[in-house]
Amino acid sequence: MTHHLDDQTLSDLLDDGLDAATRTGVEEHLASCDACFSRHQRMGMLVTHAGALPRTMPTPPGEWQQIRARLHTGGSRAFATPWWTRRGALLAAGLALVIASSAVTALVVGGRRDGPSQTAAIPATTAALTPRLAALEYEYTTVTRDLERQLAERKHALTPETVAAVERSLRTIETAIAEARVALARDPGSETLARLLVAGHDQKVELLRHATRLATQS
Amino acid sequence: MRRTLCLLVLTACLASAASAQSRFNRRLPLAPDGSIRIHNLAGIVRLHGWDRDSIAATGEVGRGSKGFFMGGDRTAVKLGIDIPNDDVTSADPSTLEVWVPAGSRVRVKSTRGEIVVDGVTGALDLGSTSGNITVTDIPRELTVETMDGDVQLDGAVVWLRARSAGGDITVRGGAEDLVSASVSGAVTVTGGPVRAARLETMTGNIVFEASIARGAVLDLGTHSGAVRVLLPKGSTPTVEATTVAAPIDNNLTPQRAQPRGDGRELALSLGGDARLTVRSFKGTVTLGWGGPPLKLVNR
Repeated sequence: MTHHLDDQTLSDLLDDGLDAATRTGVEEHLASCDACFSRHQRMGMLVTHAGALPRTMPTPPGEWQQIRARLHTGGSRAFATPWWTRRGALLAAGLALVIASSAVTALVVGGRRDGPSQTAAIPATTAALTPRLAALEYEYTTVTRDLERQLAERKHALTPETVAAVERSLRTIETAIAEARVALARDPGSETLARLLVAGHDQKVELLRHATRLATQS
Repeated sequence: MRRTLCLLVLTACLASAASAQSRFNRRLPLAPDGSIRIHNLAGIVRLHGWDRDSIAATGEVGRGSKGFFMGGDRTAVKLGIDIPNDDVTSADPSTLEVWVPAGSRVRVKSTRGEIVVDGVTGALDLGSTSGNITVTDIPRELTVETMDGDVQLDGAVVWLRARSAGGDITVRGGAEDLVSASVSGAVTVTGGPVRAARLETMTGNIVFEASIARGAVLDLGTHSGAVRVLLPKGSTPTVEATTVAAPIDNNLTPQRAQPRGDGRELALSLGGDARLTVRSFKGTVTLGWGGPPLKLVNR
């Protein structure tokens, strides 16, 4: 029966915190255990992504004045505060994206380290979005590009009807995203549009992840 | 000589028939919470939960398949139908019927095959590309993913994640934590009670006709599907509904949705602590009374 490595040991390996003998044993195990190797890869990617996050986030100009103004207004309107402009929500979304991105990439890439990073093209109307939403969308676009590249490499492993189903659904999602982006350009303060846009990107990432996993397993 | 030849031909025919379709019947001991992986890419998988500490499998291997395999120990078992190069076009559908301890954790993978499950109360992870998936009874955890197949769930589930690209997802029963998303298929939830739910589509319709728990949080979002929410009389959620370019038909109260650009927005409180949020780009939103009899569930 195989005994897998625990998270602490994998974490220590990444942090270079194991003594030489233990490290040798752990590396030998990783060479023969796909499950632990995959977990180690995912952890490594998560650490890499987390390291790339900014250590601090500057307060946007006028933030305190806006908070005071909101406090003074008393009763809050249901749609007053776009959720995605809240720092907590943005951080949570960003972190979730990093985790999803790492996990998905590790799952798809398997044992390979990242190749040269690809710069995701930013859609033309991004400039019309708020900077925070644009940043979030940029992250989604990066993850999507990565998955699309992986899927293109393995597409031959899918049946023609599966490929057709994926492409059909992608077209549907992309149409919805495009409509939401155009509408957001006209109404950048709309929480509904922001959420619908993010939901569209979520669906696209999940669909690509699913298709890529099917292709990898075939 | 002629007699020998006939015998040879007959033997060859019998051998060919046996290799074309062969029945199997196997059984192994398995812990009540054991893990099981089932693999049948082309063909139906019927999975049943039972109250024995063993796993039993029976069925028929389709023509072109390499055969049935099954192995493992008391904690984990893997079984399925082996197809050359996992190419579903190279083999006829196989049938696989499996009985597992009710509390076990089961993962089933198929490509073109249907998956039918009943009586499993442990954890299920079910995936098929184009086959339909049907689950009845009460798994603790349920993850379902299809590309084009429909998903039907009957019963109450604690934790549910169901996703499809083109298939419909139908949940009849309650859920503590439910996320259900389809691109172009419909998402339907009936029965209840539901404590937390996120239902999402791009073009598929969303229907929510279920009772909601106290403190429930329901989040419904679509791009262009129609959304219909029918709550049991006596439900008291706070409702926020917004559309970008579609009407909102509110029949819960006399209050009318207010224009917002080309769309509408509606915010109303019926006094309770449950929260219902509906977002739609251009799908019509209808809110009203109906659904099943109200079942209040304490947090």
